[in-house]
Amino acid sequence: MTIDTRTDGVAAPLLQLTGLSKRFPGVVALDDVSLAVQAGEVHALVGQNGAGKSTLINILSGMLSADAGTIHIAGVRANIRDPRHALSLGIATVYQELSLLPNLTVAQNLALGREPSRGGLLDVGAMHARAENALGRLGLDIAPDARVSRLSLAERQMVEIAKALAFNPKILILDEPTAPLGQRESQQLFAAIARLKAEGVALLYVSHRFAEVLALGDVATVLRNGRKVVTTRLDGWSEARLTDAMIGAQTERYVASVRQGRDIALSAVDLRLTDRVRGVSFDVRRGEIVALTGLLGGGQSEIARILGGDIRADGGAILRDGRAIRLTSPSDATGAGIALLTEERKAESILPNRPLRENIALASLADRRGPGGLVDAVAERDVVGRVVSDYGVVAASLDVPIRTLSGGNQQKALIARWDLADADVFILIEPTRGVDVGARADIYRRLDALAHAGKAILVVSSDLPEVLTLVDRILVVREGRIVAETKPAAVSEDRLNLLIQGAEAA
Amino acid sequence: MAMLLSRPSDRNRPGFGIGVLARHPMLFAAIVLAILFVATAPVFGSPANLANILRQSASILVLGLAMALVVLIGGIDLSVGSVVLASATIAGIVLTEGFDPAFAVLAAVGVGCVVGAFNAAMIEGLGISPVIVTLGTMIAVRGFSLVALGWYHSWVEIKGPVFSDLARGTLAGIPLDAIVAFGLTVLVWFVLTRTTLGRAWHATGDAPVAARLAGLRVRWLRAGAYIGCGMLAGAAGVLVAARTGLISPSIGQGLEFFAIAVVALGAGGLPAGRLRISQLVVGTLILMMVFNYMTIRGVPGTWQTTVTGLLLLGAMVAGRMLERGTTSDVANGVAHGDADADLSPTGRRMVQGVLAGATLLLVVLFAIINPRFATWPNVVALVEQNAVLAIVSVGAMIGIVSRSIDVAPGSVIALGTVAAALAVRHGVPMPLALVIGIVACLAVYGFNGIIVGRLRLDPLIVTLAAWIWARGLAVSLTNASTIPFDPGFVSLVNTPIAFGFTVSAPLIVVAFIAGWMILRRTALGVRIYAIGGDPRMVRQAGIDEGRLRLTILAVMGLFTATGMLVMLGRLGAAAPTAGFGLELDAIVAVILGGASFQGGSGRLRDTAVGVVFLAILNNGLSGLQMGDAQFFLIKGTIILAALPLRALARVSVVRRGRT
Repeated sequence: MTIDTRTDGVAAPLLQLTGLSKRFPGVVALDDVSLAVQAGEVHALVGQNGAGKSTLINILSGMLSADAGTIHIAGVRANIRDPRHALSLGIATVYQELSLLPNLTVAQNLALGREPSRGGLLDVGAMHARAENALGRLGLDIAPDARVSRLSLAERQMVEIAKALAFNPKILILDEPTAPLGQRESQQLFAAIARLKAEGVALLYVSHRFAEVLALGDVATVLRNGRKVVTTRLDGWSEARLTDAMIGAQTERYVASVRQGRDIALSAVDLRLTDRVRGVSFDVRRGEIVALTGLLGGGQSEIARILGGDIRADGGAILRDGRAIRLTSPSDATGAGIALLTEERKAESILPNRPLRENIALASLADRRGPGGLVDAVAERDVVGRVVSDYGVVAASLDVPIRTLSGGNQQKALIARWDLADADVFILIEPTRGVDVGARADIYRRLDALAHAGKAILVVSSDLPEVLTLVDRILVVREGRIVAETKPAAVSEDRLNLLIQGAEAA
Repeated sequence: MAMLLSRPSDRNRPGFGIGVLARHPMLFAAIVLAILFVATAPVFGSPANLANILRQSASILVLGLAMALVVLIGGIDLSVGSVVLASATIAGIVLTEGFDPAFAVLAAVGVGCVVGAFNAAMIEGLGISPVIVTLGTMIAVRGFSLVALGWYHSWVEIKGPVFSDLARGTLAGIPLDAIVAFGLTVLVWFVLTRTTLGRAWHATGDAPVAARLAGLRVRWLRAGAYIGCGMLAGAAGVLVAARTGLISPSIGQGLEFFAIAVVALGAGGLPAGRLRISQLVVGTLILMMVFNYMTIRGVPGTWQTTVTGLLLLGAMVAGRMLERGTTSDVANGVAHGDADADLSPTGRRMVQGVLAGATLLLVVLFAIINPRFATWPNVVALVEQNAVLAIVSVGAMIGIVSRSIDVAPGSVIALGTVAAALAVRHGVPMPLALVIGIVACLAVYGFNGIIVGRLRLDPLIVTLAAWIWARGLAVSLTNASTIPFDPGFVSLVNTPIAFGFTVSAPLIVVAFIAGWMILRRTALGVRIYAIGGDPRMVRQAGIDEGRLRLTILAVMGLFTATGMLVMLGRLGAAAPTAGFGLELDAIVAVILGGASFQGGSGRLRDTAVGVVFLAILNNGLSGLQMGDAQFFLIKGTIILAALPLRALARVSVVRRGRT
């Protein structure tokens, strides 16, 4: 059912990828992917987390180099060496994680790398004028000399887009650009995209929001497990059809089991943190999985980090098995049987250069401490070996550095770390970010088993299909408050999306 | 479920022999060197000489163990050399006062423990960068030791059973102090590899955030490493005391850099969380073999310093080359920044206010103690004395903002003056000789810039190597003597031009204006703040990071070269000891002025306030006619007292209470 768009135009496509492949330790991130984007066309890139979209974008923007395959720009072979080269070829990227420097002003951020100079000195006037111009093109009312650290998340995202536009790109890559945006900013962005189309810019648009994809996109390429499923014109496509193409007939699909919540393991009572968390109360019971979901920056991850002892709340109480506890550090939380795994797996969870064995044993070291603080190495090998095979962690041996494992295997090892430490409450922020689809089902099954074993599990996720398949109860967080509670059975993905977007979208 | 997991027993290890050497390039290098040395100087391999090498290695090995502990947890300790002096001094005093030798050993290790605990409290309790804190204790502890030595007419003798055994005793032909060092090595190795404490230290060093979230008390663990480091440095002091037999003020000077050198030589860098004790042993052996060989071949001792610096650099470069492409190292980079150094506007105003108040207090204090302090000639002298510091501070400020910290300006200035003076001595006309001096300064910075930029090595280590080798080169080239410079230039620099000020005063003003222009009115300035804020963003913006680092270091070199000219004129000569400790003053001025050691923030005018504070301190103390010892002690103490001001004024928006 692949429709070859290359025959549509007479001229060579503005961007043509042929046979692009990239592998990482333990996982093929991109496998022989080809696609073409014409000038004045919005080409949507669709796929689940871990389908290979980020890898593709990083190759195009020069942050990664492909193992195989070619890139042609306007018919000319391009061997993208680094981000600078990508920009000079006319490829600008708006990354999902913001790439602005908070310590600089908006104008300085927009000018970085191409600062206007006159007689060797910085032309501050021209720099500000250029920034005003770029902001104006998006209809933004932000002062060029404002420090980025003072801007809201939505404003930063718009500045980010303005920054990419300031390069006058021929090819613009947008990675989930509307994730932190409200309705008004989104409309401003869509208007800008329409203008860029008219100007003949080729756009590669990545989004989880199928409504956007269908409204904006001319053509879509669906990726699954690093492979291209289809490239198609979007006329006549529905969201349901896109979803089917994206998920496909999965070999190992997770099917939710029946779970029963028991007594309350963890309660948050009126938690507060500056303007990020404004009075949040909820319970998590043993044997159930609860999700906190909402827009990026809505406060859900702060709530999770407060409960994990990572951030100190300004006010409120935390009850563990009904007794109030004080959390001044993560060690207080782990002492109370609360485990926190954040979305920053590489930076905040793994010990990248230490062996898999030490990574898994880390939280339960004290359980196997002999006289004089000795590590019982034999017992450790034994128990770690057992959980590794229980959890299906694929690794050459227990002694390889954990950084050489794929994201999914790392995440399984980290859950095993806390299982081994006999934690009672598991808090996971974006548990399957950067995890391939197969491993994702494994992780869901493990969490399900933990819940059946009487653990209380709290998941922070913005991945709606994940929320809908994995959890028992959904708490929707917006602007630091819980605004709705629902169950997967009682809500569709669209309806949940509306709840998350709130009154603006309703 | 696909399972590829093999049993631990059959994990694929390359066969012993070649495989081991390939995985341990430094061991390979040590063996090659040993063969080479024996082949070219047979006496090198004699049993007596081997025992000699072991004996010489003992104290350095123990000091290396001390450094290894803090490097492992991602820190650094520059005070270990001063701790050696303090511990040896205390041991000597205790012995002189007729106490039991065992008590002397206890007191010596105890002193190390106290200094280590102090470092730990400042670094982990207040969150100040270990580089700054330990540079401060390095000065203060040396001052303290010198004062104590002063009570005993500047030397104490080491005598008594334990110490003489350590110095001369052997066991099966092996020197006793080498055996003690070996025993401590095994102990540390055991703790690191076989205990939960060792595990926790490795975890803390490899990924502090992850270790913290896994429930480890990261701050306490790191504090423990600093205390352990201090105690081991105290033990090294005992070995040094036993071997020298006579404690004099020069003991321990520069030893901290030998300690860093042996760690880096063995490990090819300062890898937090991955350091192995075997690497440290190999590094120590390499350094001591090279020293021993140089002595055998009749190379003057002054060259040892230069060689150490270059070996350190060579090991770092080789380590990075070998590592390239094989690891995706997340944790690598500058590991020595303070974790939450962002000052809110309120916090910054508080720092400014407190610092200005402290400066005023100093002025009042000195004016009361010393009636000549508040006179115009003294004000002129104050400015003139601190001209070099003020000029170099501008470069240091640029370095700290851009996360390209430079600890070498003092050494580079010494090398620059020596180059210029040697040129004059060899008949080069004066202006050309000045150009040669300037070029020498810029060459060192360019060299550092290429290494930092191209190989992405931590600027701290690269400039630390330059700190050693540039100073060593200056000493070697002059045979540790002072060379007079062209009198015409000297009188030109020292002639008052207005209000009693010489050309130095306007040069300070020019340096600050130039610095302000660069930071605020050039494209480079935007990039300096950007690269200090987040180097990845700079790469994403399409800027060549390596070239930017080189440019930044070259600009810093210009300020250092200017400082060199003023130094040359004021001293009237090239002295290989010139500018010693200048780097510390400059860095402290910038940090006191409120710039974050983590980079990306700071204003030049705040640095100016920091410079004024230090200038008044220097001038006021020297006006009191005190000896070096008291000067070191008081200055180090005041700097250490001033640092927490900044830490206490830290007001963060989201409080992420670290453990």
